[in-house]
Amino acid sequence: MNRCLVIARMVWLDLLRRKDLYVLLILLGGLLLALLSLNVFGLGGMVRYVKDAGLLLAWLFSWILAISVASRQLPQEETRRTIYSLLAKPLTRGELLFGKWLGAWSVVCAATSLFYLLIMLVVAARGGRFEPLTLAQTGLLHALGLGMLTALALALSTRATQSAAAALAYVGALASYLIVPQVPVFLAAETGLRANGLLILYYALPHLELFDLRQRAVHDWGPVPGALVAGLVLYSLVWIALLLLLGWLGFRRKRFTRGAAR
Amino acid sequence: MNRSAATGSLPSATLALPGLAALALWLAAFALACYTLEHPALQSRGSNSFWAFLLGSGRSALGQTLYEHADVYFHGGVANSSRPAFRHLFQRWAEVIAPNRHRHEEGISIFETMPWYRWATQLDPQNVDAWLDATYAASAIGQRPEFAARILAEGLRHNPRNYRLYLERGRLALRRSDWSPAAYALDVALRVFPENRPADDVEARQALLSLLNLGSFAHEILGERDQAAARLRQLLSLAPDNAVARTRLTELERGADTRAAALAYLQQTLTGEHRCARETDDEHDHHP
Repeated sequence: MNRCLVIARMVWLDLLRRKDLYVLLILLGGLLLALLSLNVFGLGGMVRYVKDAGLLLAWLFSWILAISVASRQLPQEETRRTIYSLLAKPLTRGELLFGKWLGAWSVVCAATSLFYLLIMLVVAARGGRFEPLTLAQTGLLHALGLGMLTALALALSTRATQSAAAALAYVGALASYLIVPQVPVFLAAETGLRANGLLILYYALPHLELFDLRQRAVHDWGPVPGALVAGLVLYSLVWIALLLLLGWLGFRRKRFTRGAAR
Repeated sequence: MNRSAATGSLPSATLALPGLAALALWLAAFALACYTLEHPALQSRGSNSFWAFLLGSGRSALGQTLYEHADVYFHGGVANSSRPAFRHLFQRWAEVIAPNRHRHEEGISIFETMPWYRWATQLDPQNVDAWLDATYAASAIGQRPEFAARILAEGLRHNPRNYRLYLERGRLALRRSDWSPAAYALDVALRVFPENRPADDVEARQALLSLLNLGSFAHEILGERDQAAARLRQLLSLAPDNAVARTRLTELERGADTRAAALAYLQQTLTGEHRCARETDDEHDHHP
């Protein structure tokens, strides 16, 4: 486990050196300030749209960060040829993969916490507040969704280049978030092979939409039952384990050729 | 010693200052851009507006999306979803996360919808539905008719020949018991009402009936009996089964003082006019 933590620490240091996070934070701050400065028919005192747009931006930026960080970890080691020195150490490929995932997930979660903190400050400056338990659940499920996303991008990057892995992860994540929840509605108008195909997609792809509690936090609907949160934690852990297993299967016998350009 | 410390701190200061200056400049430029986008000079020219230049015809689609988001806010955050073909564990979870009950925002919380109407109308000032819904939300639910009148005035600046906006202006004036402005707005609406509407345009037919009905009330209350009778005759030519209109016309032609009765009818008409498009009998909950 210690070896995994060392790898995870390297991921943290890499992100802090690259400045992606600072750019996203400044962008989020700028956009939130712009939201506050908007003139809404001369009205004041509205705060829900700031929560809504702020959380949407936090979701968007955390997805961008999760996919870009996770998809570049292994291809980058290969391009820099540091993969050889890493694999020469007393470290299994499984530990390397898990350490990379742990680092990518934890650093993205930390960045997302900063996004949330910034949003809370802006909302408070506007005179509003989030219901604490609902916001905690929103953050927890958001983090679990990011865990699945980083595992997906990392698994894809074991067999694809960084850009290909990132592109495939975006497609998979967007399909899971936008299309999969609509399948039961589509099925009302489909029969036969097409209906079966849609059903397979419905069960085979992860349900990222279940990890989105933004509307509850924005419209003050209150927290969801603890049993549902526990179910979703279990569901996400199963998916993360499955994706990391697939990644490990793709990575464990992968041959690296010196001088191969990525 | 001091000198070396000073020289030692110089590189980090020289690195940090330009970075901070760049950040400050970026924020200033961003704030200025936000301010200028709000400027009336960039907002009021329809197809020549900043948004039209930036997004082209895509601005209508984006405006429509924002308008639909305003509708979600109007319904307390509940999206308008279609009925699924089957129910499964994931859907039951999704229903707990996002309940699909029907409710409306009430009181001042309705003003939380306004930013979305604002953006929808900024992106597409020709989205008359957005202007009308914003007006309805502000006047009928938010109880701020003067604010609703401002929204409507802005909508009319962008759509000066739209009968629906004049109809709403007339309706708003009737709610405020401003009979003369109401009669004027409804007369203008009648003048700009397009003549060659297809026979199967149910919405336009309904709007014309409303125009004639409300116009007749306004003129009747003002004591302009001939104009009121003329509108009722036109209304009966379109809807001969309207028993209330027939009774009112008979009373007017008889020469009776019908103003008190007109006021009572008008109250009934105004309270019963709005019906939510999402309403179904089995899942309606106006009082969450």
